[in-house]
Amino acid sequence: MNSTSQLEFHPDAESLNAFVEQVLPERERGQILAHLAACSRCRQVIYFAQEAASGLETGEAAAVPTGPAANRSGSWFWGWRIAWIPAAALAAIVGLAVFVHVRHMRAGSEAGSELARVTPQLAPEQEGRVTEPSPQKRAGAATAQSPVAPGAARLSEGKGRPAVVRATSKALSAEAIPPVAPPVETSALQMSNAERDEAALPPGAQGQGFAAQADTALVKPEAAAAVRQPQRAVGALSSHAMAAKASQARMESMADRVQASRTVSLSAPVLQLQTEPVLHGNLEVAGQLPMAAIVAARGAKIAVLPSGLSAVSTATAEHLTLAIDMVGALFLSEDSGKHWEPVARQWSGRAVVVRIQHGLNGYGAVAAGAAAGGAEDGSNGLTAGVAVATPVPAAVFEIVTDSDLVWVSTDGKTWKAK
Amino acid sequence: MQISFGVPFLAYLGGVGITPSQSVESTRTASFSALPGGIDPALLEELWRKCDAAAYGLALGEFSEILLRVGTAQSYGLDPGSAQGAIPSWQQQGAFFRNLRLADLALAQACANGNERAWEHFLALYRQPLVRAAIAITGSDTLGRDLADQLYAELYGLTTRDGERRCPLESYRGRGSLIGWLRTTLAQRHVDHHRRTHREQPLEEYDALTLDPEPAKVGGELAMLGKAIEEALGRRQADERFLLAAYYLDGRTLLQIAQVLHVHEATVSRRLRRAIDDLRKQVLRNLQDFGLSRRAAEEALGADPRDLDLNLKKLLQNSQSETFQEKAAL
Repeated sequence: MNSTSQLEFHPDAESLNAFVEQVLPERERGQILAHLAACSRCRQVIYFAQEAASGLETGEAAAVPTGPAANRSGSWFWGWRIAWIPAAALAAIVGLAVFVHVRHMRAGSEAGSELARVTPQLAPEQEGRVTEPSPQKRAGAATAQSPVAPGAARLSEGKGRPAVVRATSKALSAEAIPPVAPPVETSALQMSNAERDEAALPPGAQGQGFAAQADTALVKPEAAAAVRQPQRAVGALSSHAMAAKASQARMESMADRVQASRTVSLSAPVLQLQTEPVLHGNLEVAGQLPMAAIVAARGAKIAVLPSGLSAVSTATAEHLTLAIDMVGALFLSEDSGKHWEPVARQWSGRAVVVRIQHGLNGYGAVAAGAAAGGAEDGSNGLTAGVAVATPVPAAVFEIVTDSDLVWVSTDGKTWKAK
Repeated sequence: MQISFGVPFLAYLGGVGITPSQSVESTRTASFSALPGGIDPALLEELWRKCDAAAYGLALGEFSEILLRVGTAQSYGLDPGSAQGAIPSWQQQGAFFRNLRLADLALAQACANGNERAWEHFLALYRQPLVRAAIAITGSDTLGRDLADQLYAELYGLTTRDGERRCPLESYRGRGSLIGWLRTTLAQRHVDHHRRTHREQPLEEYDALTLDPEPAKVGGELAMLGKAIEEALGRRQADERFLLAAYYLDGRTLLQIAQVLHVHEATVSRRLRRAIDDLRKQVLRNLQDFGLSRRAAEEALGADPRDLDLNLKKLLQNSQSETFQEKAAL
């Protein structure tokens, strides 16, 4: 036997199969490869084994499909497998866009619903129809649904603290202030950024911070933007931090969009803040106005004052209505705004805000001090859900000048410095 | 000859007085008794349970002997030089045994032991694949079935050597899959049968190989060219020689070679081109070493190959340097 044509020794089937299946160590693989380079017989063996393996794989693969339809659908799907990648990516992008859009729309609807929640409480002030819940009902609301801490809820319990309620209703603005008039800062109950931040604080700190800012004489620049919005900025004092921040952002954005809107302060003799059973645990602040004052305020048609200018600030108590026009002139109406008469200037500077305080019988003194210089004590004007039948004290008008001086009057005609 | 395998086949063998258990039991016990060393008992238990050897009638002791024999035959995957005379650690044993196809090994050894349940399982698993493989190898249904039947007969231990019946499954050591081993064994049988039966035919291929023709009288340059090519081929690495032989001698396609080597077709093409370039440069260097100028060497490379008395197959096969311990025919 010629050793060159027929090698005497060959690798066994185990080694050749291990070579074909790539499980040999490198050293032994090199030996097999060297033998294969020289041995046509073993090369033939591995060729045949490879062909048999390929034939078996092909046969097994062909046996898997159940029919021609399966073959066609599989090949069709497999042929388009490259196209599925961009299609899936496109579907993911579209899905993401739809999700973002729906979420944005939901946020907008939430903003609208929150404003809608505010509006029903504004409407009584605008229309002078404030329903005063029964003491039992308010107490139940406070105890059952108010997220405010019990201590904070009792801060102004039964005190009947006089306060100033800002009424920035769109209806009032449209009626009382021409759209072209510049915005005027009022002594309204504003929620500045700081106040809103406090609203996000724990409930025990909310009421105090809110009261400290409630009687601020002048509106901060940040709050002025919120004042310009057509909807009332006095909104929910949410116990939910995230809801409060979201509401703040929405109000600010709306304030930026609305350019020509006005703020009219509507003073009320009584402010009793209550907690309303509102969804999301919001602590809604609502002013409780005496029916007579509300009727008078509703009846006051503050369109154009005798000076020919629009009123920028008004206050109504019982049958008396005071209004300040754009140049600081004060007018008095004793018939709910039907007839106006100018009030002689008895103060220095330009009057910018007129508001109403109640009789200086204890509470009023504190409230007046708080109104002039901010919160001086730790109390606030919130009466959170407490049913207190507070007697309405005599009203005292106040005007605030541009130099932050406060002048008081009980009849609207005679004024003296506070 | 067509033999219907399975339980009837086993019954037939039993009817003629041949039982598998008689065929290999004596040789197995004799060969396992002298195995040195031992296996970690915990590892042995784990492997024994893992491959479900008990289902094929392999006791733990028998399984241990099989593993020892397989591990010793392959030096536990270690370098034979360094491991000579040394007993591998249990960690090395574990790593080696876990890389084996122990389930196939247990089945093959159980069949070699003559376990009927193992045979039934073997036939259920491999009967059809083996027939299909044989048909694919022979290219004929009849020849393929004959080839498969002959291998079954061999596997069952019907052949004897030196008075002892031998089962080829004993040589399976679990490095590759059992079905791959069966396919390779079928291919070996087919190639050997073809060579045996076609040796008498005057094939030009074998004539060229078997005859060692007297070198023709050629010119000096052609003689130098032949010698330069011979030396250049002798310096090629084994993988390059395999590529050259498979592509130029066997006429295999790049895809077929790639499937054997488990590389991409383009890789085979790139390696082949690089081998040709290197071979050409080496021939040029050899010619220059023989005293030719570079220009003359390049002119010599342009000679008509038909003028060369050069047997490339012989040159490639002469570079065989490795021998194997086992002969092709078991």
